Amino acid sequence: MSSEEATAQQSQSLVGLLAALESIGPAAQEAIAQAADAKALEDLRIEYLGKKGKLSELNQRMGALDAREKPIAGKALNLNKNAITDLLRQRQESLSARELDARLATEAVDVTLPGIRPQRGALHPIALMTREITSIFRSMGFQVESGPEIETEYMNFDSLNIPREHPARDMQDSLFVDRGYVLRTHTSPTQIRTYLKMKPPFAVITTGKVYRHDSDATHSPMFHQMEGFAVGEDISFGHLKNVLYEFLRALYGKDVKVQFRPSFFPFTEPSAEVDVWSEARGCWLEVLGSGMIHPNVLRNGGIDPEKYSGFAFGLGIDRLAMLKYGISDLRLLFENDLRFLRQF
Amino acid sequence: MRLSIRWLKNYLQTDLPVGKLLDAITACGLEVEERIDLGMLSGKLVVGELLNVEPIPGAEKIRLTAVQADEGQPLKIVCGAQNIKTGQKVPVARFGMTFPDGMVLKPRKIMGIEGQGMLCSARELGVSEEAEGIWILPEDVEVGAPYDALVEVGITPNRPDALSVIGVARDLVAKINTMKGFKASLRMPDLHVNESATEKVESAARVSVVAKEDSPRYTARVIKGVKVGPSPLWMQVALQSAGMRPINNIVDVTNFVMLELGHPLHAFDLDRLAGNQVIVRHATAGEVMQTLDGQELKLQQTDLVIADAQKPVALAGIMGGANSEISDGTTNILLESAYFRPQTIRATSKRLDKSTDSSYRFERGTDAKRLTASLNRAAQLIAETGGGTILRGVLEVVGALPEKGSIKVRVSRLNHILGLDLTATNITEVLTRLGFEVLRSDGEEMHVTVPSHRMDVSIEADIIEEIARIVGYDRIQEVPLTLPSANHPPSRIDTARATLSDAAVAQGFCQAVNFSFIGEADDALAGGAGELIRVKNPITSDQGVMRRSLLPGLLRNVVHNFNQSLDDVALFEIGHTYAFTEPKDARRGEKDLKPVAQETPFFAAILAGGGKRSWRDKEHEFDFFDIKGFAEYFLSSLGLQKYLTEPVTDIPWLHPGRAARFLVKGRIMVTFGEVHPSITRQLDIRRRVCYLEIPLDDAAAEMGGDVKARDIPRYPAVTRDIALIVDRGARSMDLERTIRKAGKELLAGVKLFDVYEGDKMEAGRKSLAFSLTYRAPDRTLKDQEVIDRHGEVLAALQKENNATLRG
Repeated sequence: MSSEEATAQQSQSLVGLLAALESIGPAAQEAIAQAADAKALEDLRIEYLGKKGKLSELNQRMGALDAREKPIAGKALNLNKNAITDLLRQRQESLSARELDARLATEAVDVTLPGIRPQRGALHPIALMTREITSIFRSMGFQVESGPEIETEYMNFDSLNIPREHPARDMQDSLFVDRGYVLRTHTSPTQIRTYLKMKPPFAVITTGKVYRHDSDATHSPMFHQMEGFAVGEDISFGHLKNVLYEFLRALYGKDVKVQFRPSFFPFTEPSAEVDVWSEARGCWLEVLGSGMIHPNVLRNGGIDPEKYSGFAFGLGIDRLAMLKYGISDLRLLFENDLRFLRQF
Repeated sequence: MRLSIRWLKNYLQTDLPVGKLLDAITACGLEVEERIDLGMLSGKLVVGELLNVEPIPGAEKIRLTAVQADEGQPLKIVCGAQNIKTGQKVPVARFGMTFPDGMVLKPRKIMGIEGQGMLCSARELGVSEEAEGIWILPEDVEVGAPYDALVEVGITPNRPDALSVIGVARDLVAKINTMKGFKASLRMPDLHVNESATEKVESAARVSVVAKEDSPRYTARVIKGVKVGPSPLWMQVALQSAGMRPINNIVDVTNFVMLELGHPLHAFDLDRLAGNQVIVRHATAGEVMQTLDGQELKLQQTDLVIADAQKPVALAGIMGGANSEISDGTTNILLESAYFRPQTIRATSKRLDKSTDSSYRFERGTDAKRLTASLNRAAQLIAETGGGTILRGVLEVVGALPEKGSIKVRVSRLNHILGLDLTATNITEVLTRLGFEVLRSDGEEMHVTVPSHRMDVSIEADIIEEIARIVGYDRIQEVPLTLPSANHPPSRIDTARATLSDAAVAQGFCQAVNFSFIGEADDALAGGAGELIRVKNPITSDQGVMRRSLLPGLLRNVVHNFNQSLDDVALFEIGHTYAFTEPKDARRGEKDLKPVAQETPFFAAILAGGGKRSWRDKEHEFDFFDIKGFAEYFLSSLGLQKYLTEPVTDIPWLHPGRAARFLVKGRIMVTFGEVHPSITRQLDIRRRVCYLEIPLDDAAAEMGGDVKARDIPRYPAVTRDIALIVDRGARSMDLERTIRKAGKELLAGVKLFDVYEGDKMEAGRKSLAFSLTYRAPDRTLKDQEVIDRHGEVLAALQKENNATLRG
């Protein structure tokens, strides 16, 4: 239908209304696009969509139309109303986006300023190493015992098959205290203490401070040892090998290269030093001393060596920590310098 | 002990390559600790023969040599040393040779001549510190062959028998023959002695032993008419290879035989022994002698000496005396081969701080039964190199030695301990090669006698060890350990330790580890309970007493960090304090399980200084309320919520107005506060230091178990803030108590949020502001209920605490 024909069929009132509508649309669009802020936009909403707004005005003029024309006018009015509403909303959105942008621009900070970092403390490397070792042996079923650091000479030496004449018993090698006691030179007295109070079979580790009369670049008068031992009716060197292999695999990975080398300790027989191959250094590193518990030692602990056998092993925690964390100087371990400690 | 592989191979006949030989030494339990390559390991050093030595025109000291070092053309080598002559055998380093100092030989030009290698001195090769000039080798070494490898062997204290070339060879023969595809045998040196003189030894000298316990066996020979001079080159080179300095043919022989067979010997100038006799006796108290190193020694009655009719002529087993020393003019010699009790030698050696190759062996134990083997070997070598004649017979004092019986070894026991499956035949084979004798065996029970050089073997376990080290630990298969119970939860104290250290780390504390001993002055800073334990032989005086508190160590750490300009110190330590708590004469059994001293485990933390932690934070200095906050925090991490607060005024090392403690069920759980300024001042610390300590035994005993969750409140709360004006001495805790008491069941919480003591306050008064929360668990409170109850609270505060509401 051409517009002429349509016009011919429609009353003057309808034609006028539609014409008014037609001029409102572009004017509204223009005004909304020009609105500079939320206030101007609200004014336009009232101007067009308010109770006394331009569309309401036209709406009232619908009363003059006949029933056939009303829907036509209503539809046109609605279309215009929706269109203006949409335009207002769109403009509103774009204005608020711009406002937000402007506000955010003022909030910008120098993102290269340092973050406010909470100060983190740190466990001592010896404590970290002790935890790691202990948790490996715990997972293997070992229980943890402890023993005193100030010992009788009997517990520290005689009971462990170290005779009176042994160099370790010299003032040059061990630290002695009042009343004829000695600062334990190893964690091994805990073996005897455990034997005297527990009934085999058992598997135990113990860790702690030990002392020697020694102080230079590679020796500290106080250091830390871990000692493990298992006693039962059927324990052999094969068990010792397995336990230490398991431990070293847990510590250094499953491909670790290990060597057992004959050595001598008064409290084990046969004795073995255990070395781990260091690819980085290209040499074997001594990490553990071990062996089958000497029958005299079992006997001193009240355990019948004919009925029971056992193995024992020990390691220096400080040295192991130094290897693990690449600590170059032993003195750093006891200087308690925060710059050193914070690294762990 | 330094061992020359070349020397070793004089006795050890084997097809095992040198590299594997070194591994085998370690596998025997004689650890190779260090190796010096003289060609046998790398092939980069060979024996060369000097064909020509000619001067270089224009050069004064440097000469050009032609050296035959392989089958090809002679090598042209420039050399600056003056001791070289045509015909000598010398060590020739080829390009690529690595020297002990790390230097790698590369081609270079000297005086415009590019040499084809380098002639080496003993010093350059790491053989000797003293040697000058090129190291001249014996004439009989093969030209073109790698020369040697020197290894430092670590011999454990139980194996003095291995402190000789023969000793190592003996182990290796046993070891190598258990290795697949290799063989070894031992060729002993010639121990024959040619007594060429007609004179009997008894007519020339006498030996008597007074100190029979310390010297049960003593043997000697006399060699007459020797000419003292340098020893033959082969012997000098052997001694240098072993790290010894050649002296003269007589002394060198005694050293050579000691290194070869393991038994130390001593040679006296017989003509300087008064009465031509030696007496083995103890020194008299205060007796003085001069040893051949020129040192004047004052002796004790426990020292063993060799004396002549008048005076000591040697410190037995340790060092000879200057008065009987072999000199250029010596012609007649008394040669001693004796056994001395190890403990006696060790005591004297330690006391006089005099350790020699000889004392090292005697104090570990020597073979008392084979004295004459070494004696004869040395006498023969002296006669050969010094040209004298050996008198007929041996002077001997042969006391009784304890006889070792045979050892019973059970094959099943051996296999059980080692996890192996050996037969009596396998075992016999190994033991025999080591010099043991299997008297009889029925396949299970073996009876074995021990060779006299193995002082360390006396029980079955010792034999088991011999088998283990020779058969090799690599033959033993891993066997998984099955434990009866695999679940052993950590002890309460271990849990308390872990909980507290994790809590401390989370709050920025670093863990310190201090020595357990401190200086006596530092102990005085903090004192402590119980009797001070002194270290009898401390290394330094600041390690003289066992600590009775963790505070002095941590204070020292504060000083250290402050000195490094680290001003924000937060450290914690977990460790024992030590003290005697029992009277001195408390009788203790040897196997008493009770610790001999009180060792009390503590957790301690120190805060000192402070500062600006970040660009946004304010300057902050730690004070009492920081440490109190941490004290609360640590208790709460232990699951301890309920405790009493008590001011502390009775601890001298804490600030009397800034210290307190928390008690749980009457036990002191934390003591904390600012360290007394009079103490920090002694250490030159100018800032506040805060400290707390928790006795771990008590913490472990009281710490809470699992958390019991409470429901969160369902009904709304009403909050009322009040600002109270109270006396300046009023305590926040007392006000809080009144509030709680009066607020009864409706008071759900009270929190102090402000303290004001400024000049707007009336004198003697201060203001404390609290926030009170009212809530009922089962309903919403009505306004009137809150008004009424809050009124009661205010009234109570007024009545009991003289508090008024601030306008």
